[in-house]
Amino acid sequence: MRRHPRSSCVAAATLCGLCSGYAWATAPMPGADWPAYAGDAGAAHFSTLSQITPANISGLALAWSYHIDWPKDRAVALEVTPLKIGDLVYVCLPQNDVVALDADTGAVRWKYSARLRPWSGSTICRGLAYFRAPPATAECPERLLMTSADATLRAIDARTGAACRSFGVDGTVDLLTGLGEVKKGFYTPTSPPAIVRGVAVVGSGVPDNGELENPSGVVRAFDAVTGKLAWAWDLDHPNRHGDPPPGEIYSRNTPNAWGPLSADETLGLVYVPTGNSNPDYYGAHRSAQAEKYSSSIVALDATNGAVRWSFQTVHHDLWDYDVGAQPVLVDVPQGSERVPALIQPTKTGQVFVLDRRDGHPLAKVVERPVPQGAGRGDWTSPTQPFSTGMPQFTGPGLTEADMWGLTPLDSLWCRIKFRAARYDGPMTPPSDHGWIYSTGFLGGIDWGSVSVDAGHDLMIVDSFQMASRNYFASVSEFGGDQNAKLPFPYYHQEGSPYFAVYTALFRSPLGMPCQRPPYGMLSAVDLKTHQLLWSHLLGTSRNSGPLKLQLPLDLSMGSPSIGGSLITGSGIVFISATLDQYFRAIDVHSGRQLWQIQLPSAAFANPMTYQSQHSGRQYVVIASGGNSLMAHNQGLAIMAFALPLGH
Amino acid sequence: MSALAPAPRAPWIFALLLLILGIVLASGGAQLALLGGSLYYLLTGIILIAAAAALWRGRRVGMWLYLFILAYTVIWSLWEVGLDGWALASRLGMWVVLAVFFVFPAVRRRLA
Repeated sequence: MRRHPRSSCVAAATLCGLCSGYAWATAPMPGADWPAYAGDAGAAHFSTLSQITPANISGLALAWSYHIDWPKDRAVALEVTPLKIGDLVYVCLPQNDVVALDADTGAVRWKYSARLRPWSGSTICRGLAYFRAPPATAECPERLLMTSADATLRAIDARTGAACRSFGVDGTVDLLTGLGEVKKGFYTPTSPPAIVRGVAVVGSGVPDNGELENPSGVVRAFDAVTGKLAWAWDLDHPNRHGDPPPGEIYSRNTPNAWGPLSADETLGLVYVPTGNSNPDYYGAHRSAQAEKYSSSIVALDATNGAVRWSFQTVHHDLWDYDVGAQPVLVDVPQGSERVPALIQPTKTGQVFVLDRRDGHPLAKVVERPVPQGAGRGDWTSPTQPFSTGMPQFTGPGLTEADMWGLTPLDSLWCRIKFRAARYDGPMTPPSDHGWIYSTGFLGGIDWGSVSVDAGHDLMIVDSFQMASRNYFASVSEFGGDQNAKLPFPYYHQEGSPYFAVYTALFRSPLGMPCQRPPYGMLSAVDLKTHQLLWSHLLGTSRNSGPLKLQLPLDLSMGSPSIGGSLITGSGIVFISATLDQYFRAIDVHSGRQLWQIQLPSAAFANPMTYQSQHSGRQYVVIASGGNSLMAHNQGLAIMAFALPLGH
Repeated sequence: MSALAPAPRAPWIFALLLLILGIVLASGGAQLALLGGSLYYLLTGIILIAAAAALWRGRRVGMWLYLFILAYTVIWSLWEVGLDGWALASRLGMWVVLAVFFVFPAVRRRLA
């Protein structure tokens, strides 16, 4: 990855608009454009732009917004980060329609209707991939690639919004090919493809705790021009790189990669953060291959899908600690030289720093003994890796005194549950008495990942602490009916001696967290010294009241948060992510808040920034639409902020 | 039955509220104590039931018992969580809000 020192930011930003390296030349640096989901293929969430500064940011105001039609009573999670290339901003909507918006006005230039197969489960589209085809390509010289909720990969002309007919079949590749029987909603990719060396690499979303016959977690690469399968990485068939032969299918229930992938064009590697085999909380039956590659980062050769190296963040994962965060590829100082690194934040609040050429740790990793136990017939890994060479974002362990609530009554309820269940920190194994573990399945650092200003060797981490409470439920809880449709949040645990598992954030019946604040923290880490530079509460108590009540009470608390941050060349961190619905700007060096604005809905999405080539204005964009699991949907919109004209 | 009836002019609605709170705290607190947890809830539940009974009879000692709970809850909270505002609010908020009831001179006059 190339990083510019701040002095050349303006030049870099100007030049970037003209960057025209195509296809497998290095991808353009995020400046005027924001050409990839996380800025660049290495996901640094960094832009060289510096028009908005700590000195003038008080004038930052809404410049345009694009309203997304969505029924208020329909569940949704708006997690999109738009792209900006040339004079258009590209947004994928919750059901995979795509709009191109004028970069200065937000006016719709074209709209692509996905017309999903009546099949899909998810409504999440985190983003799109942009690909500039080789010069001789007649159709769609610039195209957008999108994985869709109906298990398709689509190519769309970035200039017109028309489907690229020469890609796959009429612009669509069917991702169900080779998967065998797939039930409705059981294969729903939610993250953008990674583009590397002319191929689009796609992972998949499959249900957690679904079935042992879950679809394969196969990772596939498709030619970004034709849509032809270039290779597949199928866990149980590591030497087979094509579709399975007739009569066979990709191996079922292998760890899937639902988060965004990262790619290094120069090394020719794509980095795959992996999940887990079903079910989440019982693993006696997992195959040797699944054991080796679950909850890991796997570096695949971009030309054939062969495994170059892998690094496991959790052994024999019994906690749903799948790796959702996009690996961040930056060069970090190591003694007197700079080494190509991969920074991998995890749900356990660890930040692993690896050499991305071979996967060996650049910051110390220690295998520590962990509590033993697990469900009947299952086992626990004796040790787990901890990134002790980096600051930890696991938070302090819980004690009974950390139990919390609106009143002594609900905190008493929490204390009883806490004492009744097993709690032994982040690696508390499943137990027949129920178990509580923090950071929990949403926490530490999830798909929002971290952002890095490599010019200053600074990393910004937003972390979330909220324990999960689980217990195994027997069939008698459901009236003895083996075929009972399980209410939320119960899930079948096929392949285990248990009928179902209850798994939820550890909250009281009032909906209040059972542990005291803070929940959301924003921190800065020096990548030279690996020291914590600052760490502050992120967000207020607004909207964190009981029973999902949206109380406008702004007391500093450290709000529950989902999503990530962005750093600009002028030293500003932009982040929303919090339940309090604020979009904030923070000084990257001090952690001091510079600006905030109240959004119509929570923004559980990563922001992006770009500069218009017509007006020269810098815009900062965030998707405000919340997540039905966490907060009420108050309307969905893409919102762009800029300094007043003539500034 | 008449023995159980509230004393004339006693703040019986408030007493009933404290009684329910006391029963919940005492029973939940007993469960917590059996699990090896804090004894605060069981103890407080019992004292609260006593306070409720006294208020039912229009006895001023009910108020003193309530204020006694408030006083040791402050000390216990500071011991458990120090000066953590959110943790203190969770422990003290409800007691402080309910204590406002005793601020009214009219209420105090009704207690013998």
